[in-house]
Amino acid sequence: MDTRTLSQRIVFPILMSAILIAGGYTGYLYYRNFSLIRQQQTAEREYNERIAQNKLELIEALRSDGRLFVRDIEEGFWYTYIDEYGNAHVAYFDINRLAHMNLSAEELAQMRAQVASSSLASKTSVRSLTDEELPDDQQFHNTIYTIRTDNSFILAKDSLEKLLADGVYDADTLWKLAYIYELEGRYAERDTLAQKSCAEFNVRCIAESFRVSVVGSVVDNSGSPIQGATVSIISRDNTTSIVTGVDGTFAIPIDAHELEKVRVRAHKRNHSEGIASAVIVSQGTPALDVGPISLSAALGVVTIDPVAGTVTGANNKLIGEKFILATENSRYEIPRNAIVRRDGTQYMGPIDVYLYEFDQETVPTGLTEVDTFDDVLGFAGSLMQTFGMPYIQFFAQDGEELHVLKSNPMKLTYTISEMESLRNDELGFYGKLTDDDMEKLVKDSRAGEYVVDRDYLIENEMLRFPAFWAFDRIRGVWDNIGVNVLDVNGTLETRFYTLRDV
Amino acid sequence: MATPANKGTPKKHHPLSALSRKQWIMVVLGALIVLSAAVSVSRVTVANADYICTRVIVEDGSCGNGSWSPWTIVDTYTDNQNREVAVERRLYNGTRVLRHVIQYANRRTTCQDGYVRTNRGVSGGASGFMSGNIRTESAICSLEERRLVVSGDTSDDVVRTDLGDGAVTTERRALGNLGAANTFRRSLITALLDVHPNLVMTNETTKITWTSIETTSCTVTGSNGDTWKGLSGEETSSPITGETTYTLECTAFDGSKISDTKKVNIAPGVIEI
Repeated sequence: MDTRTLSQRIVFPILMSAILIAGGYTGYLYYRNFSLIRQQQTAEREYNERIAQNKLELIEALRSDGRLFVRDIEEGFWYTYIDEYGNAHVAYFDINRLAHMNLSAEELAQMRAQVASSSLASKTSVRSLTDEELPDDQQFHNTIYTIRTDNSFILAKDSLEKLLADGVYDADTLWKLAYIYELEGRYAERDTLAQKSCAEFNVRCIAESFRVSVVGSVVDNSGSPIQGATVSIISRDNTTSIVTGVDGTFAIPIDAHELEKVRVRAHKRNHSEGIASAVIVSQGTPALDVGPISLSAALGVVTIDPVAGTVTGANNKLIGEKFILATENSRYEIPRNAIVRRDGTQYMGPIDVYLYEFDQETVPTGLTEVDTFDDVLGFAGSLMQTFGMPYIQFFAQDGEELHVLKSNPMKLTYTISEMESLRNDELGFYGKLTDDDMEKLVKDSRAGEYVVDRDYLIENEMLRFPAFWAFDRIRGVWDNIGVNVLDVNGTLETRFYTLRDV
Repeated sequence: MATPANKGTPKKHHPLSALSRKQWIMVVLGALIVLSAAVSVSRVTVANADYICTRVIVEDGSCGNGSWSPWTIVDTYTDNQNREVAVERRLYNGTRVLRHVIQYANRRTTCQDGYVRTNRGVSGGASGFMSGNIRTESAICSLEERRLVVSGDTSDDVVRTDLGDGAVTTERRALGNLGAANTFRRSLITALLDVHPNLVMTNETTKITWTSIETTSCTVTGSNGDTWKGLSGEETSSPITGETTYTLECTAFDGSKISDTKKVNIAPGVIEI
């Protein structure tokens, strides 16, 4: 048998088979791609038809407004409407953006009603000013509050503090530093700087203030009003608290300054507290609407008595000099002498302890839409995403709110309730948390004390694991704190407090 | 042992002959070189890439919770009709809210799907960026509105016009000039009805078409009971058995009524002998 015969008998059939298989597979790929392209084209056509239909519906919804041409609707226009508090809101009608939102008939009707009650201006008669055209103080606000990719907040603060320390400052320096302190909740230091500005430069004195009504409502997680909630302005020490009525609303008049950040706190016994804030941009705004503040009811209440050494609840006990309180996912170790009044003096009497555990479904927005700070960026935003939140409050029998200071903290052991969400990246924001991640966190936690904070997570590119935060009840802001990760199931341990004193 | 006959036979190349193998080896080596070069380049590129990727999850483009300042005159001039024209301006100051999902994308060259690169961060490895977070941006926004006021002119035609491109236009009315807009719109109000054919044999049908301009609702009714709604349309009638009148009635944007009427008749019978 010669080589040629071998080739013809074995190699060529194999080659032919391979060519046939490859050809068939290529054909299949072409067919599949063709089908996919057809499907894509069909989907694209249907999408475009839907957008075109949505545009027609928008035109039909608005053309009955006698002030609008169809051309105005197609080209876009500005409309200004006044809310229930007398504040003006200016919006731009963009048919292309709205057509992609697939508005329902009800939403279209709302849009029509909104436009009908608005004053209108053509597309070209109104323009947005660029940041560079804004006054210096407004530009400074935007530098602090808008998305930054560097640590400009910390740099600005350090720079301003150095100018002040060196005595090289003017009214602008004092105002900017006071503005940062206000955002951080350091109200006493803010007021000191304001007094200094008034005394030395006659700028931003009380006489320059104007009357504004701070308005909003207190609601539960379902949006129903909460009656009897106490609302106070924590960013000022000279305003009175009010108690919400049956509709849950409140209105507190204050003498405000331009660009003042007003922070409001709402609380009610047996409920978590809630914080809301807003900045008064300019004089002439009749009301500052801080929106609804949502509160949640407590999971349970226990009573501890540091003097008698007693504690209620089957799972709770006093071991040595520490009260141990346990809920489903949390375990608190509270030093017997840790609970204090707001002025820092120790409280020695029966204390009601309200315990909460929130998850993504139950967390009230009054606790998530709150200014948040860390050591990396300084101001880190005003909206939190929780993956489980233990929460605790202390009250004397007469209703006085009590605290645990950062300088004499509790120890909290908590098992993250939304581990599955983290492992599956259900929110689609962060990437999936892996076993390797958890093992590294546990290992690194053993090497140090409460090392896992935001800085650690960033340095180790481990942001799939959530940072932990403590809520300062007096300043009304969240502070990042470090934790130890005890196991791969997401159990962590940290020092916990309700008031930062150091 | 090879036979003599085989000695002089040219060696046939197997498909995987030595030459082919050499070619394959060259190809594989080439691919490896290209691949390693690509990896090196990507490493260099990646090392320099330090991006923040963000995705806006809620966008409210409006500027809210603020107020308009009073109108102030910023310029005056005399137009080509010898009228005094004042350019007025007012400012709105409020706040704008955007929410961003921020993803830390250090050491990546691109952002993942759905995210956009918003800025270049500090190079040189992991540093203090926020990420994996939702952040609310609460920026101060300011809007400027301008208008023209022509002194002594109280007509609807020219009171305020656009200043968008710096040119004064009198044909394109600003929305503030509602009187002029409505006068113009009223001139456009139209309701047209057509039937085709308008002569049919008994029990045949005809096509009804209608259209309207600057109307808010229209109804077509036939004396035979046909009825349709819509600002425009095309329908087929029910079988025509006698003279039928179709009427289009529309309500215009300003509430006025407008109508149009057409008749359909039966063609005279023909007797074939």
